[in-house]
Amino acid sequence: MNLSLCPDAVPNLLMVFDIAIAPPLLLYSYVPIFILCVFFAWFIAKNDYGSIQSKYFLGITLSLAIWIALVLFQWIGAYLEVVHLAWQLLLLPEITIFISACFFSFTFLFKRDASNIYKNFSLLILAAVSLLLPTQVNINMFDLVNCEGVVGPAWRWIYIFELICIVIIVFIALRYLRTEDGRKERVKTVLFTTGLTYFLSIFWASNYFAETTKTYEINLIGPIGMFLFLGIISYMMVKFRVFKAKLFASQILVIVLWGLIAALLFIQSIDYIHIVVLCTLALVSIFGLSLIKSVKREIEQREKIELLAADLKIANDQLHELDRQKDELLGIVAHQLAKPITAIRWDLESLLDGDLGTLNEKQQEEAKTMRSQAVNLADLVSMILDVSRIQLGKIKLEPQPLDMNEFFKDILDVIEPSVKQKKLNFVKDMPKNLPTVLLDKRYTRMTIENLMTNAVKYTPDGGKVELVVKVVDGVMHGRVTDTGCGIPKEDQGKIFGKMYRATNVRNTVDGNGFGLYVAKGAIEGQGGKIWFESTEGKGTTFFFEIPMIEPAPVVPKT
Amino acid sequence: MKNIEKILAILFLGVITTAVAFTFYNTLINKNIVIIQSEDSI
Repeated sequence: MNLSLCPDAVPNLLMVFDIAIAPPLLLYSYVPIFILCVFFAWFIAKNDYGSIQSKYFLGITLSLAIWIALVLFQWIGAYLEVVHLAWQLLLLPEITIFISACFFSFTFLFKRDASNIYKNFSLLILAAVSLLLPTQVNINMFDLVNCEGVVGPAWRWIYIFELICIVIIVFIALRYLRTEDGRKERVKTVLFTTGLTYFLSIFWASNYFAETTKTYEINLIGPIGMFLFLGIISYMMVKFRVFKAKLFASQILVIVLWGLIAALLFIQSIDYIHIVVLCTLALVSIFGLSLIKSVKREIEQREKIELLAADLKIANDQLHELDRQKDELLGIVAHQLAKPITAIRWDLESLLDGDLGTLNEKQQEEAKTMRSQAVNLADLVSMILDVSRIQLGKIKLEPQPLDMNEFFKDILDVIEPSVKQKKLNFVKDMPKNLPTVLLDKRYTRMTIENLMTNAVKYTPDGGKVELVVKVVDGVMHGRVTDTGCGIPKEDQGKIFGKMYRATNVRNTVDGNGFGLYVAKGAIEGQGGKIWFESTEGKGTTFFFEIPMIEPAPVVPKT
Repeated sequence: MKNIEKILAILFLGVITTAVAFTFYNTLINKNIVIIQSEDSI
C-alpha cells in the first residue's frame, strides 16, 4: 500500500504517528482514558458476562476507546489517507456512544432489556449513518496544509441527534423516578443519570465547539468527563452492587493514577519530570496493591456474612413452618383423643353408679382410681387443645352472662382442699356484690384457676396466698400474691413461654409448663393483660386486667 | 415476528460492515479523497 505523508510529517512512533506534532496535553488527556475504557470494558465483560446492562456498558466504553484511537490518528497520524480515514470513521463510534448510553440507561434502571423494535431502529440509524461514511456529506474535503478533514453537513444533524439522546436519558430517569419510591433506588438513579449526562454533555460540548470554532484543542477536554462517569460507576459497584463485579473502586484508583502519571512522561517540556514520575509511579503501585488486597478481603468477608445471614433466614423460616405444622398436628391428635376419653369417663360413671351391675368394694376402688386418671387425662388433652388454638391464633371466645360471685366461689372451692392440706394463710379481698358480666367462662376460669393453683402449689406449708379483686370502670383488676419460691431473674423473660418452667422448680414440683402460657393467651384473647413481679425465694405477685361488659337487662314479657 | 426482527438486525449489521469496509477500500486503496490547500477553502 503506497500512502502519502502529510506535509512535513515524519513517522517516528509505531510507523504511523508523528509524535513531534502532538500538542503537549494530547496524550495526557487521551491515553489514560483509552486505557481506562479498555480495562473497564474487559473487567465488566469478564465479571458480569451475559448481563444485558453490562453489554450496553461495554458498547459505551468500547465505542469511546475506538473514538479515542481515531482521534489520536487525526491528531498525530503521519499519512494523509490514514488521517482522512480516521476523520471519516469517527462518525460511527460517536453516535454509537450516545445510542449505547440510552440503552444502558434504560436497562440499568428498569432492569430489563429494551424492546427489539428500538434495537432495530437504532441499527437502522447506524446503517443509514454508515452509508454516509465514504461520502462528502460526512467529510467534505481534506485540507492538505493542516492535514485535517473538513466536515460535511451530516455532522450538524449528528450533533442534534446526540442532544436528543441526552434528553432521552434524562426522560428515562424521570420516568423511572416516578415509579420508584425507595430512597436507595432514587439515590442510585440520580447518581447514575448525573454521571452519564455529565460525561455525554462534556463530550458533546467539546466536540461541537471544537468543530464550530475550529479550535480543536477544546477537543482535548472531551473524554475527561468519562473519568467522573467511570468513577461514579465504580462507586456504585461497591456501594450498590451494580454489575456482578467487586473490588473495583481500588483497582480503578490505581489504574487511573498509573495512567495519568505514565502519561506525564509524554510531556517533554518539563525538566526532570521522568524521575518524579517514576518515583510516584512506584509509590502508587505499592500503595495501590495493598489497597486492592484490603478491599478484596473486606468485600469477601461481607459476602460471607451475607451468605450466612441468608442461610440463617431460610433455616429460621423452615423452623417456623415446622413449629406451625407441629402445633397443627398436636391440635388434631388432642381433638381425636378427646372423644374416646369422654366415652371412657361416661362408662366409668355408669359403672360406679351401678347401671352395669353392682360392684364389690375392691372393684369400686379401682373404678374410682380409673375415673380420676381419666379426668386428669381429659384436663391434659383440653389444655393441649387450648395451647394449639392459642398458638395458631384460633382461640374462639364465647362470652356469656357470668355471675362473678358464683364464679369466684367455684374456683375457691376447688383450691380449698389444697390450702387446708398445706395449712396456708389464705386471704381473700373482693367486693361482696360483684356484678354479672359478659365473659368467656371457660377461658376466664382457666386463667384465674391457673394462677391460684400455681400460687398454692409453689408456696411452702404455712405460707400465705392472697387474692385481691376490684372492678374499676368496667375493668376487673386482680392480683394473686404468694410467699412461694419466686421466679429466678434469668427465667422471668421466658416464664409465659410454652412448656417453659422456672429452673428452681423444674425438678422438684410437678407441672407441664402450659398453665401460664394458656393464661396469657386466654387473657389477651379477651383484650386484657397479665404481668408479674417476683423475687426469688420471697414470692410472686401476678396481676391481671380483664375488660368486662355488662349484659343488656332482660325486659320481662307483658 | 421474531425471525423478521432477526433478519432485519442481520441486514442492518451487514450494511454497516459493508459501508465501513468500503470506506477503508475507498480511502486507503482507491485514494478517493478530495484534497484542498487551506487557502482554497472558503
